[in-house]
Amino acid sequence: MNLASKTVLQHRKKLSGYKLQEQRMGYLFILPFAVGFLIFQAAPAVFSFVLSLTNMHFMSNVSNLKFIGLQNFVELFHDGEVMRALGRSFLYSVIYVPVIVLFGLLLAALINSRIYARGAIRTALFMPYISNMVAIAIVWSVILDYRDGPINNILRSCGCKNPPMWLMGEHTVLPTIVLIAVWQGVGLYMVTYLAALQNVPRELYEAATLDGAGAFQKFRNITVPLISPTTFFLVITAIINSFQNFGIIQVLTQGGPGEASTTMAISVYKASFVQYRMGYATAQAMLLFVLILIFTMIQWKGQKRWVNYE
Amino acid sequence: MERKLLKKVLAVLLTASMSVGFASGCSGKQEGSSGTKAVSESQASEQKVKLKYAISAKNASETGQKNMIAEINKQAKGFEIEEDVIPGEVADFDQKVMVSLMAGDEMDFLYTNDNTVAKYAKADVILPLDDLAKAHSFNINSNFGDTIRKINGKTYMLPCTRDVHITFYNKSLFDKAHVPYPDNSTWTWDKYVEDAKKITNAKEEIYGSYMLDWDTYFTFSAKQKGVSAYKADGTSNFDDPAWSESMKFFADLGNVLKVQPDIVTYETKKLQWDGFMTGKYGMFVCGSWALSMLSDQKTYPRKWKAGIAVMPMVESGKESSLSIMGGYSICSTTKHKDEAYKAVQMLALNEWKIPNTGRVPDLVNLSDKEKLSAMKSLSESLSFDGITAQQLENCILSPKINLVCEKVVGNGMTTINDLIPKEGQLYASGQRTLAQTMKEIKTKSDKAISDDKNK
Repeated sequence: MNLASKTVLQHRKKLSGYKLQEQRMGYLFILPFAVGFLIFQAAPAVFSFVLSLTNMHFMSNVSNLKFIGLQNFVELFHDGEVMRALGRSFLYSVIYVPVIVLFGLLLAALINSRIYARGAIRTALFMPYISNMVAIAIVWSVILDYRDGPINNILRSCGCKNPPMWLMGEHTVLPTIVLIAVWQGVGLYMVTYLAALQNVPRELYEAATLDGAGAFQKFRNITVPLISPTTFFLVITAIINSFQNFGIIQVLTQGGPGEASTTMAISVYKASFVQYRMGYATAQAMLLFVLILIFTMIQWKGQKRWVNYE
Repeated sequence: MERKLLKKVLAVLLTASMSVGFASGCSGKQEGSSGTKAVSESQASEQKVKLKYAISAKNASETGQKNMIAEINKQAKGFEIEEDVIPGEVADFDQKVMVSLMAGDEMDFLYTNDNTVAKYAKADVILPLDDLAKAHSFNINSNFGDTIRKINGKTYMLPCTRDVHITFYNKSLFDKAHVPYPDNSTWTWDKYVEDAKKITNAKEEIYGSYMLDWDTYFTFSAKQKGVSAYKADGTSNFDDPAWSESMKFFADLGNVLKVQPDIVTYETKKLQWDGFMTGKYGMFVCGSWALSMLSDQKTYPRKWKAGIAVMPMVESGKESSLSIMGGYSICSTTKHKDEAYKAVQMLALNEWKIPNTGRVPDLVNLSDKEKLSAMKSLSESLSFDGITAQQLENCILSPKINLVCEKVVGNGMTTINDLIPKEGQLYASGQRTLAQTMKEIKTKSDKAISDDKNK
């Protein structure tokens, strides 16, 4: 071996030593997070899965705990109440995701253009996002008061004899909750879209204008493709958020009237803290987890077709 | 080289300190508490046995509870009660106690009622008291009567108080409408409606009646008639016409007779359980625990005076009221069974004598004088309204009143008690027919019962 190749070898060894050292340091730095993740997230998730395979019930002694395989899962697919709750979760999601994403984009486009009191409007639109859920529930209860709330008063003055019962109506409660949730969360979507819109190069619009493109063509062929990574991120976030609707429903209607606003999240709560069936409740939570995972994976795979990262 | 080493050491130290800090955040408190536990346990073994009494933060702050603990600790030999404060109130408190007991946390005794005692007993987190009573030569039946609640033939709670539904009425509104005050002997639901109609003045937003959206209000008359929520075969009995009659009665008061806010107004206006204290309602039927609002002039400042009467009867001459017993049970995790039993027995027999506890004794062998004296401290707190001990006794302790449990107790009870008002709301708000509502309640209750049985 000549001197040059020896030097190269030494240099490579030194490099791999550095690399190894760097890797070790990297692992050391992520260690606190990894420990926390394992203890507080991974372990409970595994424990939950194990629990879903048992008959655990608060109303029976732990010594009666039995491993029952997939019985909870079989039961929940035959349980009309759970299946109806699942249907409502989908309905919630189907309304929530497109409305919040489109509305967020629309508001961002408006804020991005030169309008009067832009800063104040942006702040006002973002305010509900950081507001307390209980306060929001009280305000909306007053606004949607069936007897003499402002919305129904306006509807009555326009000739509507039987205005909707909103949160009290069996058929109106779910869409009403979704709209309140959209109102609360749209600020974040707007701000995220605003950042994306401001990153679209001006020159592209100028070039398109010179080529004679109209506003809609510019929006469709320049804006939409260039903000597609943001749209992708927001759609995934919206789908996940739409299934995590426990807080808003519990505060506004507790799943009622009847079971009209009982979604999967509420059903899991009821199974665990009303019926005390922890094993069954965990099986429902697992089903919800798998469904969200499937949707996210489909989105992830499908992104190549419409998300533009260039 | 040295710098590199120093960097490495610093990185390792930083990582280690973060990990230790992270872990100690979880474990430090436990080490501290177990240390304290060890000290207190060694002290306890030298002195009196310390009994852990599971109590909510709100109850722990009440004067009556403080008096009770102080008084019992003064009188007790061989044990001392110490509070084990569990966060949360009512249902939250029950859930946390249940989880703690199931996890094996040591507690000696706790306050229960007809509803919660059944849940705890089913979960095996409280002990049957019959053998302990026998060992202490205490006859449960001769003290509390043969009707004391038993679960699978065993007694799990020694009652220290009874809560009985009564009628609260606003004397000013009765006077204004020239309606005589309710008379216990003739006080029926028909009379209640008749008086409520006379008092109601829609223009001034005055209603003769006020009812809540709680499960009991949808089922008043069925329960008063003693109709069981279960059939002999164990399925639900909600197809018995008595249940639909009581559901209809509640809805009609608001929708047809218009003597109280209808359910839509109640829900959308977010009317509160203590709405009667606004002075806009003529009558309010509720448990005797609500008497505390009459004595609370600070929260409810008012000029008008209130009176009380028995719960309206379904049929004249058949006095019947909804009630719930409260008492003490021994936790299965206790290490001091005997001392815990002594404390529970002592409380059941004597707590009502301790000032400000608000307890109404559930003992059958009380003399008339004792009954009157039991009501005396309560009546003193109601002096503004001029409610006497005799009136309280007539409404709460009269042996003529047939007491019926206000809650559905049995298989699937938590689900059933929860679904009655939820389904009832759909009917009372005109979105479902009565037949549909009762069918829905029956189907869902049957499922809850079957789920509970098959667990």
